[in-house]
Amino acid sequence: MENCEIRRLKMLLFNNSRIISHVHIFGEDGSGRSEIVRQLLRKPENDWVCVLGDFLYADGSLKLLFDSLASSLGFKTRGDRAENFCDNLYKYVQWPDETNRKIVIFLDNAQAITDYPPVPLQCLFDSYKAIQEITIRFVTSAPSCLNQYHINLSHLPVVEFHIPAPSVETTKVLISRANPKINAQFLHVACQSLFMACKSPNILLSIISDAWLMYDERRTGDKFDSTLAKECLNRSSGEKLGNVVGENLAKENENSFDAMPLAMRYLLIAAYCASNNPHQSDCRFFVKNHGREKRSEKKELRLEENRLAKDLGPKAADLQRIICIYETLLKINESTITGFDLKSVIASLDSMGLVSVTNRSNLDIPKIKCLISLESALKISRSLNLELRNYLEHAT
Amino acid sequence: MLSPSDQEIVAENARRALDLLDDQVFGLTEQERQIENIVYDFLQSKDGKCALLEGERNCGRESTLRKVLNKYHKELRVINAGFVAADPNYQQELAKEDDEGYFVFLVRDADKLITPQQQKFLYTMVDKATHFSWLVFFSVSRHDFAQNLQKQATSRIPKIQVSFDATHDYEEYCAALTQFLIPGGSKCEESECYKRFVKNLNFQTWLRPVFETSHYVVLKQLAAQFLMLFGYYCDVEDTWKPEEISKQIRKIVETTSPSYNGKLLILKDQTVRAQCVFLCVWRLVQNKESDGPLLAPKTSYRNVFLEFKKLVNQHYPPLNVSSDVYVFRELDHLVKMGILKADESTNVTNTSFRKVWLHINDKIVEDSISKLQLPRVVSDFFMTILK
Repeated sequence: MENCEIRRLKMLLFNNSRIISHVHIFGEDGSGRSEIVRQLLRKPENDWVCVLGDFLYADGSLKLLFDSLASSLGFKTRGDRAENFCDNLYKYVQWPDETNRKIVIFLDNAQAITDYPPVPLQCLFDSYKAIQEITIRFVTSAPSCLNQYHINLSHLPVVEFHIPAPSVETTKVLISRANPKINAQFLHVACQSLFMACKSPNILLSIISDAWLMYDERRTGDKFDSTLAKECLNRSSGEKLGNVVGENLAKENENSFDAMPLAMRYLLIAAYCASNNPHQSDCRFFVKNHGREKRSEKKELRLEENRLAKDLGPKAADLQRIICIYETLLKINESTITGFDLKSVIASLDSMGLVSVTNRSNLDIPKIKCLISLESALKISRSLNLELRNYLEHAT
Repeated sequence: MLSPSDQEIVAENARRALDLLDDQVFGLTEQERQIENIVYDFLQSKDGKCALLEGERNCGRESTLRKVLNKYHKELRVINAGFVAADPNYQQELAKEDDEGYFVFLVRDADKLITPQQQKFLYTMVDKATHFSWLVFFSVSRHDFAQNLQKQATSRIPKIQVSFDATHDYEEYCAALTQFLIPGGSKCEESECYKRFVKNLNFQTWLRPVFETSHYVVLKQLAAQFLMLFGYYCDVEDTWKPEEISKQIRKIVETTSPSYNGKLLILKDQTVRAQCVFLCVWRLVQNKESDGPLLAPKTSYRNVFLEFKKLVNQHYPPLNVSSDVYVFRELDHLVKMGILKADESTNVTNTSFRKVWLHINDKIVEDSISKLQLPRVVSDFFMTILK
């Protein structure tokens, strides 16, 4: 961060006036907002006493929060009353200047204040007025603005300070300082290509270090090979950032449903058809044409308009309907399979999270909703040599 | 440009003004006179009584009361009603108070005591005030405080009331900042160099946006930051240049202007991928009607992924992702940052069908697309919706 911004933050943290009672620092994860404040509070100016606490560590317990703050200041406190805590502050803290008592209470991870009881938390933040002889300043740090988390705190005169995400140049300097072995040209190419998906210096350092090791092993000669560099970067960042890798990863995913039993796969496809098709279309798809219906262009356009008008999601279907579709699909390919307890298979699918069973109070008519996506359903049907698109009203 | 001796004079006077800033109250002379009358009558007659101080938050009720009591060398005892509301045993501790003379109490945030059980505390204070010769001020911020009282409390609390609904115009606002920077009756007034320096800040030209949205407490906070800058942090020769001082002042003031939006700053901090995912949500929500008159239009995670794929396949392939999980992660992250809202119902069993909607006004989003540093084809993709 720039020096003038740090000076401005110091002007807020160590301001002599008690009119600045709450400072909220917000910024993106990875921008260093908590670490910057921690380093500034480690070397306080103008005889300020600084203490650090964490809302996430205390986990909804003001008692635990006061305990951690008090033990940092060198005394013990009991209970969860902010007034008692302020009284103990006045009596027990070793002040550098007894005639001018000033304390900064830094509370990190302020996004966790939603877990705290509202009224005692409000008493805590209002306690900057509790004792006239002490200047208490609350400094909070969170990813977003303070009003985002607690609507009851909107009356506080909070001064907000934004810490921006690091720029490309700052990230390069940080990474080269952390790992000096990385080639400068490699670092430039890496930051240019990866900054689109990630701005966190820690994650980028991990990815670029792995990519640099890969590149250093495989390079030939001293000349910079940008093609090899990009390949190493893509391989290193494929899992963390989701950049598109070659065909190998896709092929691995292609076979992941073959481990399912056949009956389970057929039943899942039947549940998908039942959840995503209107029930009026069952006769057309599964009895009359068996997926070979001729679809005219005009009908396709009208169906597309209907699709855009609706908010498409899976709907609960009757178990009986799913069993009928299942039997129909079996007749096409695997007429020899018989004798499975379909309710047990559906229970297995439900426990795996692939379908959800509603209406459990009425055991005779359960409703089943298929939760897999279209891509997964297409993969399963491809492994069954079944053309799923022919059986869908809206091929989305 | 100031000479080094002038710089030292300005810094010294700024430090002096900063020490006096906490006790300054502006624009409340009428309320101060009323409170002084109440306190004077109490000290003369020794009769216990109660009074209401009514006004918005942070409007200076307690500061005015302290200022008046300092004239009579009287100590103010503050009871925070929030503590009473949060702790039922507080009342018992106060009931053990003995009659030790003439006390002045301030019950802060008395309108938090709204349940019949909590309003008993108000009876106790009123009765003790009459019996022990106490002067009790109730500080409230809700204008319907009296209407919510029980019948017993209404009959006991007297009609003495000081209202802090002060209105001010722009000239008074600028005069307030002048007084905060040059306190009346202090040594700063004798320094012509310091007064010329404050005059040269020329805040009449840039203070109006702050005036239109903020109260005096924000103005006081600005004054505290200015005085801290002049008194302690202008330590290098370059920082005393007029353009450098104007730049610093502009940065301090911009967080209080109406155009400041923390969520837009958060949006600018996001990666290009996250910004595109957010704008896909905005684009989908623009084209969609809401489910009811008071509900925001919503879309689902899966539709956002499809829209993102459309953007990637047609306009900008470098943004491509290998799985929809990464788009869902960006959506979860944007919800955590507060610029989107998502359905947190326990009935959501699949991330694909989770509902998501905007948490920023969509007009603000529309105006800010050109300010984000997106590639040209991506900006055009989102802008074409406006034609």
